[in-house]
Amino acid sequence: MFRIITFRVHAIMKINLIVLLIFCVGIVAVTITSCDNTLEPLDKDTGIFAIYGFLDLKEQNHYIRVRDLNVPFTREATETIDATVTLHNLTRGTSAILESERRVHQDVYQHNFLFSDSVFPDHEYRLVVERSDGVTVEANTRTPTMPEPMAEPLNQNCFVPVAFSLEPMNGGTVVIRLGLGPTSSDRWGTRHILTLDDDQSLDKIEFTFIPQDQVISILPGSDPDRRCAQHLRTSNIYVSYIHYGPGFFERIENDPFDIFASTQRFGALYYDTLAIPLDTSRVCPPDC
Amino acid sequence: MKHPLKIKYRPLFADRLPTVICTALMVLFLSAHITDAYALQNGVIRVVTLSESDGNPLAGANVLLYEPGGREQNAEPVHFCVTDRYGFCEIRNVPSGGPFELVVSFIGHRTYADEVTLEPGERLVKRVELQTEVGEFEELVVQEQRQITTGEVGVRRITSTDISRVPSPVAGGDLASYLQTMPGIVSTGDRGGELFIRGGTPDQNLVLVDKLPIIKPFHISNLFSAFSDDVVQNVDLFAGGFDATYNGATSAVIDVALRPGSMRDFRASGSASPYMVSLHAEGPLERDRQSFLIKGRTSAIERFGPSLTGQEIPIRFSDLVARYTVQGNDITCNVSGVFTRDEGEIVPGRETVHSWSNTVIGGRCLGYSDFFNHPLEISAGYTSYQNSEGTQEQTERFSAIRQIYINTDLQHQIGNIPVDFGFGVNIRTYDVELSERVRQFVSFEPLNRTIPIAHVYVNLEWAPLRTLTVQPGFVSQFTLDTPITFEPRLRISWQPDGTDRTQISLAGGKYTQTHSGISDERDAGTVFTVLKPIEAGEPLPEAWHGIIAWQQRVGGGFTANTEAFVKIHRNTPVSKWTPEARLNIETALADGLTFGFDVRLRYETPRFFTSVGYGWTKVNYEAVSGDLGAWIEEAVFSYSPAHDQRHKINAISSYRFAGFTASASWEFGTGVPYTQIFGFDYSLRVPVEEPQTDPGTARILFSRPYGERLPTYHRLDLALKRSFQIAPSSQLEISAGVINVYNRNNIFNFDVSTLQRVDQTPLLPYMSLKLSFR
Repeated sequence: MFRIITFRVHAIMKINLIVLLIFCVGIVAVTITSCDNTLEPLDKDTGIFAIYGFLDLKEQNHYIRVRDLNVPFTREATETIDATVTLHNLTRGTSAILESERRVHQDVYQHNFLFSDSVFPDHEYRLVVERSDGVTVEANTRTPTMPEPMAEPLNQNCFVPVAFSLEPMNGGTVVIRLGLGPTSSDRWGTRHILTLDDDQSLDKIEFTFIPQDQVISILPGSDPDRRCAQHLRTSNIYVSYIHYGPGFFERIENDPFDIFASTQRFGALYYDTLAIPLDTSRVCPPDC
Repeated sequence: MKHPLKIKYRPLFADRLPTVICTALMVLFLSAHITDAYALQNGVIRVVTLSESDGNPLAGANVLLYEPGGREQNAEPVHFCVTDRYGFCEIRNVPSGGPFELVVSFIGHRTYADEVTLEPGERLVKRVELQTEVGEFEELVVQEQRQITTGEVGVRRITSTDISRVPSPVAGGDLASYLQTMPGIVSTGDRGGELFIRGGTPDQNLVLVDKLPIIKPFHISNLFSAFSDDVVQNVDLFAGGFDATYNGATSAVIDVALRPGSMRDFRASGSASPYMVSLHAEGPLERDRQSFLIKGRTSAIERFGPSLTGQEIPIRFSDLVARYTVQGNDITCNVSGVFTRDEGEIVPGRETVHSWSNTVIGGRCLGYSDFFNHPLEISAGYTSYQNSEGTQEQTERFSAIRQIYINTDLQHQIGNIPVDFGFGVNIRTYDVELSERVRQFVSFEPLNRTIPIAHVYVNLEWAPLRTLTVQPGFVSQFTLDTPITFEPRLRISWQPDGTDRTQISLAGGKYTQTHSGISDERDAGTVFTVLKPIEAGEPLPEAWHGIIAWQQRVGGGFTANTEAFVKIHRNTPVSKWTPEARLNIETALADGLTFGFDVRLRYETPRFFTSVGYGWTKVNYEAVSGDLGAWIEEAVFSYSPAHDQRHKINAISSYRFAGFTASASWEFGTGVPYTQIFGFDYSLRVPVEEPQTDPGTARILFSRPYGERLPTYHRLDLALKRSFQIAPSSQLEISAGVINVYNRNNIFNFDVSTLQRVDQTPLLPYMSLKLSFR
């Protein structure tokens, strides 16, 4: 019995020593090979520059904000930006290097790049932001066509449908709102988003409305028997519209979970407001 | 505005109740009469095994019934059972007459033997006290006494001795420290109190203390829980494949049995260390019949930490554990209470305060009188848990769960097959409140709902061969909102030579839970979890487990254990990812696949102990990309979540010499996945906002989720302790040690708020004192 136990103890000790030896070697090896204790919290390869801004066909000064996404929110880190910003007009073959106008917000500098020149309708532009190491981020846009807006018939009573149209179009989106007056303090209705039909050969966007219906929708709860003429102080109904270049509207209304797209909001547009005169002296519908 | 109640009343017991449940229960109850008639000719022996040293029950003792002289002739016992945490077990269908030799043995105790004779139909209750035995025979005693096991696959029984072997910066050990030394268990670092067990998330674990559920007993410092070694009798950790007596969790069960206070003498102790101060008292209220145990601890590290480490450690925690026990001749009852409180900054400097607290109070009784045909256990209690996140001034997020429950557990026998079965009702109230500042980002209304949950289970233990044990069973849960579940379970254990020297085991089954916990795993700096019920119409989170284990014991002290496992999780709610660094309460459903293996080697002698473990685990989740909101192109996104630690090695050793006990613990883990930052952005809503006039909204954007891994982690802790007898009835224990001996800068996380790397505990020397009286 004693012999058996002795043998067992020796065998166990032998096994244990081997295990211990392997384990010690393992610890040393692992400790040596795992010295790299660094962490790279920033995904520097994908997040480079954020671009926010637009070219306005009716303005002479266009500001485009460029932010280095790898730079934290501190004054020191944002004092300068390692970026050269160039705007190319691909249609004309011209380009301009933009200068930064720095502004501070909550002790963090923001860099807005200024382009002081006219922007031409239906031109292709490319904004290139280049880091000193050659890494670039590009954003392309095509400006909208800026056609003369059309509305007809004019000077009809509030019950006659009016067709508002823009032609020619080069794609793009038009967002319109109808209002009772020309200023932002006046009452405006909800927005209508107009895009070209699938059959883009028409090259035209059209929105048809009945002024009386629009006035009732702008003033919900108002007496439906009250004629729209009684609300229209200037005998006009107004169409305010924003004409976006192709794809720009879709980019700014994008899926909030698309991280990259949410940091690239660059495009072209213009705003305008059209006054459509109505004959408010005629208050009856056609069949009265 | 209150969350609209979405209650759909459905018929519970009509067409939707699986026929199998009714059938099983009917068979069970009908069979009671059959076996009763059978039992009239046979007897029942009920044994309660107590320790002579303190009069408390011994769990895991072997109770064997031999033919006269059979033990001397090394014959097989004719009947046997293993005592439970009450020290109780029952042998049925013992032929009347006799005599038989009743043998009761337990590790480290002198074996008890007595002759018993039964009258027809007699139910004999024996109370057996085992005397402590120490000396050089210890190893041999161990070898002889581990004859009977019931299958250890997926189970790790942890004793207070195991816990005390892990170096701890307080006097004695703690369950939290011990659990993290086990392969397959991953924590988020050294703070936060979150444990991920074999791919499961903390909300998929069920923690029980004396059968009372406790949601998060782990403290904000991951070194501690509410369970120190001197209040714990033992802990059963089911890393998966648990049997039908447990329900409501899809990953793991941690079943803690508190130690009853001594029935024989009064004991008290007080300890102090830079981390914590504690007081403990226990003793008999009526010798051998009633006892109490109470222990309270509160942290001190916030005060002493800066001078020891040079860093602010702004955390506070405390706990109180109490237990009252009464032992009658044929009934054992206890009332237990656990109260915890945690508060502090997970990431110092972020100025985000996390807090959580648990209140658990309840009792249970086991009746085994000869009046009862079968033992009966009833437990009832109240549990509440709340956690919040906010600033020092204001709580911004709050989530709580309160439970009132009553459970009945019965034992029965069909032929020679022991059957455990039971039922229970749990009335659960969820309460979630998010402040306006937070709610503006998330589409979640305040929630206040009360949901009753009922369950039934049946668990058989069938031994078709002397070397083979099969435990089939099932659980069913039903709520008013969700479909009735049917969760089959199976455990099989095979000991080729009839002892546990070699054991091959299998376990598996289906597991379902009726609630979920939503947190942002991308940010280790937040542990706030929204606990919410599964709403009507939502699929229940469920899992299938499969485990195979091989255990080999060589001699009395060396044990090798290998387990391979797979867990398939379905319908796991995960927080919908937003590009911005914030929690989203909206969820997507992910399916998870976890598989891997563990190897544990353990060698133990009276003076020396060493345990080495290696675990390899792969955790993979899949979800529809659109549901997750991830910035990815694939339609279905497959990713490794933040608790996918691929390799983990642990080693613990302790050695006793010249009155000293030296212990060491080394941990190594490969880095877990984390999500990089895409960028620091000021978002501008052009053309509504313009660059020259509007500043925009600051936001930190996450990149592709879990695209990178943190650096590897490793740490060595050492401790040395010695006890001094300073008076006949008092003892002083002095411990000294070092946490993170080679001062490894183990990363905790990169804090996006402060833009700083946050490391875990640096080199931390400590000394603790414990003064005990008895």
